[in-house]
Amino acid sequence: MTESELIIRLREGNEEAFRELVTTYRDPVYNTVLSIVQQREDAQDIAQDVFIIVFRSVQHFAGNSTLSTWIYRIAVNSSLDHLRRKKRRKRFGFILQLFGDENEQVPVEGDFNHPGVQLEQKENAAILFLAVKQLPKNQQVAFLLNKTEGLSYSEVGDIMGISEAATDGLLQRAKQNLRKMLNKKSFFTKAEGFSDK
Amino acid sequence: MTRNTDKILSSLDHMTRATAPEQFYAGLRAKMERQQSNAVIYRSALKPAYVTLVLCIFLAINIFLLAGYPNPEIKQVSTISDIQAFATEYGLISQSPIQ
Repeated sequence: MTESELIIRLREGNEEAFRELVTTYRDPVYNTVLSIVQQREDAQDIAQDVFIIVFRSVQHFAGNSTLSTWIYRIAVNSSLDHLRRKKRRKRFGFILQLFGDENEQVPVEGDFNHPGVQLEQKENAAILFLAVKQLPKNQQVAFLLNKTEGLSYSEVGDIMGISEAATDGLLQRAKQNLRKMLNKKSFFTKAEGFSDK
Repeated sequence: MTRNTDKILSSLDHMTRATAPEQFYAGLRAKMERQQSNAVIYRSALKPAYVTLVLCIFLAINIFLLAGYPNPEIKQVSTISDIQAFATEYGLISQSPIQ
């Protein structure tokens, strides 16, 4: 089934087309979401929500980009929305704890081990993922799409709605910031603190 | 330190893509059905018949409460007669000096 046929059948509400869409894109979507949110349980939930959004809004898909670019864009936005909600909840939970509500737990974040990382790189990758979380959101997304999904600068640019040159600049800045962070001793002290939890 | 930093920065170089859990599609279908049934309940609660019924009940309660509220005119009359009875009993009714 070609991409345009798939879109037409999805618009008709065809279940077989939906199954094919999920089979084709579930791994890229799950991998993208997992790399951004760095939580397996949350990643599955968000990835499923991405397909529900795709199914419900395929009527409005204008075809200005490829289907995969559109799906990646939804996956990135859903992941960032989740992180924003989580941050808000965390702040609110902390305030409630200050006022003595012990039932409101502030989530503790630990190391993230991406299942696709080679065994001998696990430790270094966990530190890198921790550092990536401190980057500005656009640098974070560009870096992760390029590194964990293996997308080219032009594909990353299409997803983020920026030019190839701008993507290049964003990735350069991301790498510079990561290098700065990793060269600081204080970062490793913080990283060890996370590992202990 | 720099060598270590380079190692960390290149740790994602040959990584593979994470695969979605096996029950991903089944879980997704279940989630969609759950959301669909919730939407049906919500939509049926907003049907015109239900909305009209709720408005009628609200109107009936208002009419019932207004009908049961005491008439202020009657209350005023009874208050005046109470004062007159009190004044008569204690001889407080002023009389004209001509009488």
